[in-house]
Parts: sequence; C-alpha cells; structure tokens
Amino acid sequence: MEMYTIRVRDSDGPDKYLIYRPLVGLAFVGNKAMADLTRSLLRTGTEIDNQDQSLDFLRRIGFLEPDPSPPPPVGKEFSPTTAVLLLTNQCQLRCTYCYAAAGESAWQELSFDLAKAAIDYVCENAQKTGKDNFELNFHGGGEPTLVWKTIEACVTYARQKPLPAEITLQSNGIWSAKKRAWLLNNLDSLSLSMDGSPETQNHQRPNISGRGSFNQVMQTIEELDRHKFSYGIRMTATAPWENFPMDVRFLCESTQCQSMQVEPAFNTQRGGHKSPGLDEVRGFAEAFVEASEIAARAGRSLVYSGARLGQVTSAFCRAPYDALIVTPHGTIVTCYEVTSDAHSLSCLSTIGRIDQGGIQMDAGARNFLHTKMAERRALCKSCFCYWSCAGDCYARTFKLGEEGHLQYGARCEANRFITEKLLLGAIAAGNGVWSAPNGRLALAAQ
Amino acid sequence: MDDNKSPKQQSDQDTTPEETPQVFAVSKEANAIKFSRRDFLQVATAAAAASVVLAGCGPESVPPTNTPPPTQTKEPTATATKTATPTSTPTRTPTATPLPHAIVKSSANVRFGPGADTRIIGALAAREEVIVLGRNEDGSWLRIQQEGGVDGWIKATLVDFTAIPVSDLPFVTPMPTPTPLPGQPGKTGRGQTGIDYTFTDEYGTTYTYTMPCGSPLPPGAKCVCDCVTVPACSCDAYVAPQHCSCDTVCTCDKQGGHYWYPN
Repeated sequence: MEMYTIRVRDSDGPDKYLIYRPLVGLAFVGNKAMADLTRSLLRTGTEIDNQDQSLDFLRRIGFLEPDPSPPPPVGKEFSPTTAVLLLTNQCQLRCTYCYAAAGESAWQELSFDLAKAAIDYVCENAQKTGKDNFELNFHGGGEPTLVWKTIEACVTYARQKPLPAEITLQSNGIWSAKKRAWLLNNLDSLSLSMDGSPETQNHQRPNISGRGSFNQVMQTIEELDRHKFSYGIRMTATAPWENFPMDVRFLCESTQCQSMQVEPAFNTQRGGHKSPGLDEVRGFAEAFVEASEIAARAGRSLVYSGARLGQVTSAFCRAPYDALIVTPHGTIVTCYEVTSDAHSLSCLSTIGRIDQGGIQMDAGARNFLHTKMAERRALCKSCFCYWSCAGDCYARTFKLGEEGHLQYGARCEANRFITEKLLLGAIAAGNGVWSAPNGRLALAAQ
Repeated sequence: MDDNKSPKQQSDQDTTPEETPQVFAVSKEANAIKFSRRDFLQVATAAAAASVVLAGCGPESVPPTNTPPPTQTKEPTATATKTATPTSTPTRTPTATPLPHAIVKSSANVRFGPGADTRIIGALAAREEVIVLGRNEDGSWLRIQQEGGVDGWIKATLVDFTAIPVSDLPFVTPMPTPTPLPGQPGKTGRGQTGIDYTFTDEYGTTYTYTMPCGSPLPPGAKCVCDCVTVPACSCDAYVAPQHCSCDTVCTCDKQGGHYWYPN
C-alpha cells in the first residue's frame, strides 16, 4: 500500500504530519505517533488492537483499504484521435516570455493538404477504436487565426467527416469582429491566452508595435461572455509574483470565465525557458496558493499543471502519447512547444512527419522518448506528487547533456509546495479529512 | 503551575516525543495554518468514503459551522466496524515503535556511497523524512532509506537527526564503489559517432552511456543503438531502423542524412 507522510511545521507546537494516500484519495493530519502508526501498519500489516480508537478512526475513513489498481501506463500504441495543428509561427503579439519567439522567423504555415491528412488520420483512428468523435485543436507556436483560410477550410472539412468533430482553439484573442462572429459559430470551445489586469496584460503581452493588447482581448472576452460561449483562460505568471493573485482577482471580477489555468514563466526572454531558481519557484508557489483561494471564493477554478490534487495519472500530459501534433512544416512532434527544429528538444520530440505520402511515424523515436520519460518518473517514486504530477512536463524538466533527463529540478519544489498547501486546504474544508471526490470510485471503474 | 514555566521549558515540553496517535483539524488564520487536536469520534462516512467529518472536542473545537449537527445520521457501516473481527488478535498497543528518523534540511542528493564523489542515486526534498539505518566510520555520512524510495547515503550535516547520538547508530560497511562504466554518460550527440548502451544498476536506475565504435560492450550492458553517425538533427528523412545490432562489438553503420533512433 502506498502512503506518504509529509512533515508540516507548526509554530504553536510539535510538527505535524500530513498523512496521505494518493491512490486511495485520502489525507489527514496527525502527530508523529500517528505517522509512525500508519507507516507501521502499511509496511508490516501488523495486527493490532482493534478496539483502539485510532485504529477505528483509520478504518472508518477507509485509510486501511488496499490500494486500487494504479492507472495503466499510457501510450503503448499510437492511435491518436486528437489532431493538434500548429498552424503558423507568426503572431501579432510579442509576449515577453514567448517560448516560440513567435513572429520573428520567416513565415511558415501548415498547408491545408497536410492538415487534411492529419484530420483523416485521427478520424479513421476514432472510427477504428469505436469512439464517438474525434478532436481537432488549433494551437500555438504562433497565432492560429492568422492562417485564417486554413482554419476555415479545416473546420469545414472536419465537419464533413463521418464522425463528429470536437473543434477547439488556443488563441491570443486578437480577432476582427468578422472572425469573432465566425469562431463563435464554428468552434466548440476555446482557450484564450490572457494574463490578467490591464497593467499585466499590456506589459507581458504587447503587440508588435509595443502597445498593449488588453483592450482588444477584453473586447473578445466580453463577446464570449455575452454569448455564454465555453472558454477557459490560460494565464502566464511571471515575477514579481505578488501581482499574480491580483490578476486572478481581476479576471474573477471582470469576466465570467469559470476555468483558469496558469503556468509560470521563469524567463523574461523570448525563445526559450530558463531554469528557475529555488526562490523563484517559491515565489510562484506562494502566489498560486493565494490566487487559488481567491478563485475558489469566487466560485472559479484555477489550476496549475504541476499540482493537481486528486488526479491519479501515469502521464503528466497526454501530448507525448496520444495526440497527433503537427508543426507548420509537417513534422510530427510530442509537445506543443516544440514548434521547430531550432528547439533544443527537437531531436527528442520529433516522432515522424506528414508529407504527400501520408503519415510516417518513427516508432523507435517515440519509444525512446517514452523510455526517457519513464526513467525520469522512476526517480519520482518517493515523492508524494508521484501520481498527480506524474513526472512533470518533460519539456520543462529535460536538459540536454550529461544525465540531463534525470534531474530533480526547482520546479519540483513548486509542485510539492503547492500540492502540500492544497492538501492542507482540502483537509480544512473537509473538517479534518480530505477524501478525493472521485478517488477510489473512479479508479475502481478503470 | 505550567503557567510559570519559562518559554524555554515550554518549548522543551513541546518537543517531547508524543506517545499516542492523534489527529488534527486544520484551519487558516491570517495566512498561517493552525492545527487543533480532534477526538477520533463521530466520524461520519458517506458512501464510498466520499466525505468525512471529525467532531470537535472541547475548547479546541472547530468553528460551529464545521461541526456536524448532533442529529447527523451515521452510515450503518460505521457502527459495524466497531466490532472487532474474530480473526484479529490484539498483539500490541497501537503505539508504534519509534523508528530512527532524520529530517532533510534542504534539498539534498542521495549517493551510492559515503562520499561526495560517489554517484547520485536519488534526491530528497527539504523537510522530507527518512529512516536512518546506520553511519559510516566517522559518522559524517548516514545510511538512509527513503519511504518507498532509494536506500543510500547522505551527508550527516544535511539532515536534522537528534533521535539518538550518531555514534550509537550501527556502523554500515559501504558497498564497494562499482567499476566506472566505460564510455561517456549520455547518448551519442550530434555529429558524433558512437555506440549507445544502457546499464541498470542495483537500484534499478538505468544509465545511458556511449562508447567509441568498435568497443566491446561491458558485461550486463544492453546495446540500444547501432553505431551510427548522427548528423545535425534533420527532419528531411525518417527511416525506421531495421534492426539494433546488439552484438558484443558494434560496427559502424553509416546511413546518410538521417538520425537513427534506437528501437
């Protein structure tokens, strides 16, 4: 049985222990004797006095139940039913942290012929595997709506396929009124990149001339709200971190968006991510905890990918396993951020290409990446975030060079800090015990 | 009488090892997490343990809004579990024998042997608790075990360990340092020629090393890549490898213009 005990400082007394069984979906706070007791119980299974109230407590809350089967490993067979099209490398914005340095290179765009091949492929896979629909997503590396004719053609084509298409877009929200009307009528959902207050948005996401983008994006959001359109906001947080909770408050008060996701950017340069230092990740982690409380009070959801309390998964992200991600020049990659050969992890992330002959997969390359990801995750086995972080984002944690794929990074600190705080918050909300809403039941059903 | 104790005495008393298991409610006050002791009573479990509530006890009770109403109906199973099952025989009290634990002060590496020059086999986070199994000769390194994780050595100054004097820990003979693996860590890089192989150590950690073409594979190693010339990564051609020669001696197999991924 899998259990983690996490020591928690208590300024008013002896340290406490967060006692956590992620697979079962239970956690509570005990003293050291309780931590030792649970460890002994789970390690040795020693029979002890059944009349004891501590044992009675553990039994009642389900803490002594055996682990349900963990989720199976993912990605053995490549049969994606989701196509992610990275349509272009161009963008109207010059975001200070843009990993792709969008808009700075010569124009590239995915041709409709290649996009069509990708759509055919995932639709056929969906039919073969008996799914009800397939998914089509237009994603970044640049602003997809700049390749407008291709979007229109792809959507029209996907809607004619024998299975229904779930069509989504990741966009910066800089749209003309005409495009906006079309998107509202033709998309199923949308993720909008927006960083918060006018000050933050204009500073972090200026347009090509250096002027802020807040007004234009807010206009888009107002239209989305007016039409009650299904959308989420994807925020990027940067230092100084104390601004981030205020940005979340602003979005809660100024929009009807129900679902926000934030990812930190520790570099202030375009075209790559810098590894964060410990102080930086702590700054983000503390800001996130504060912001998530603000969002919760407003009835909104705020998530960060590295700390997903209640999630039990073998994969941080499905992209490396079961999405067909196509770059503007037809390469098939395993990460939305690896948009060109210039990316430092391009070699590791390139698993095939689409050309006129169709889709050519390199199974060896795909297996090699998965092996590397599994090797790194194996190092996480003793971490209490093992099942929720699941080895974290490989594009954030892999480094080129000596044993670079196995590093324990500062980002781990943020993930652990946030998960610990979320657990404590959930225990407080649960009057002393956190029980994952779908924990054991969901797993048992798998 | 307790009120007359000095802060130091209070503090000493606070750190006295507690002998009976306890549970605590959690609350947040002015950005600080507060813990208040609860009794193991009135645990109401909803179906499938979906929600659980701890009842308050005396002055440390949680605010009334969080206290379950006294009329709350218990699940029948909660009563049933109070009856001892006939197969269980009480054999000891629930107080577990304290294990010698240490707390990691800040992020630290776990190493193969008692020395900073030995291989890193794992990592510990700040405040992580580990079981201390023993020490080296002069007590400068501790042999520790991570809960469900690696078993290795950590520098004694990197942990808080006050359970017993370090000198009272059993002396553990370090495992002999393994023969260094031939070649360079990592896989063949751009523009290089080499044979890649993997080696799995006694902890189950797999390492990838690369050697010059024509080198014999070390015992226990697994060839993962043909000996090839790897050009600057190109997306011009993707040819799935037909084979991975795992002969004890690899031969160069130059294929122009593409990257051969291992299969």
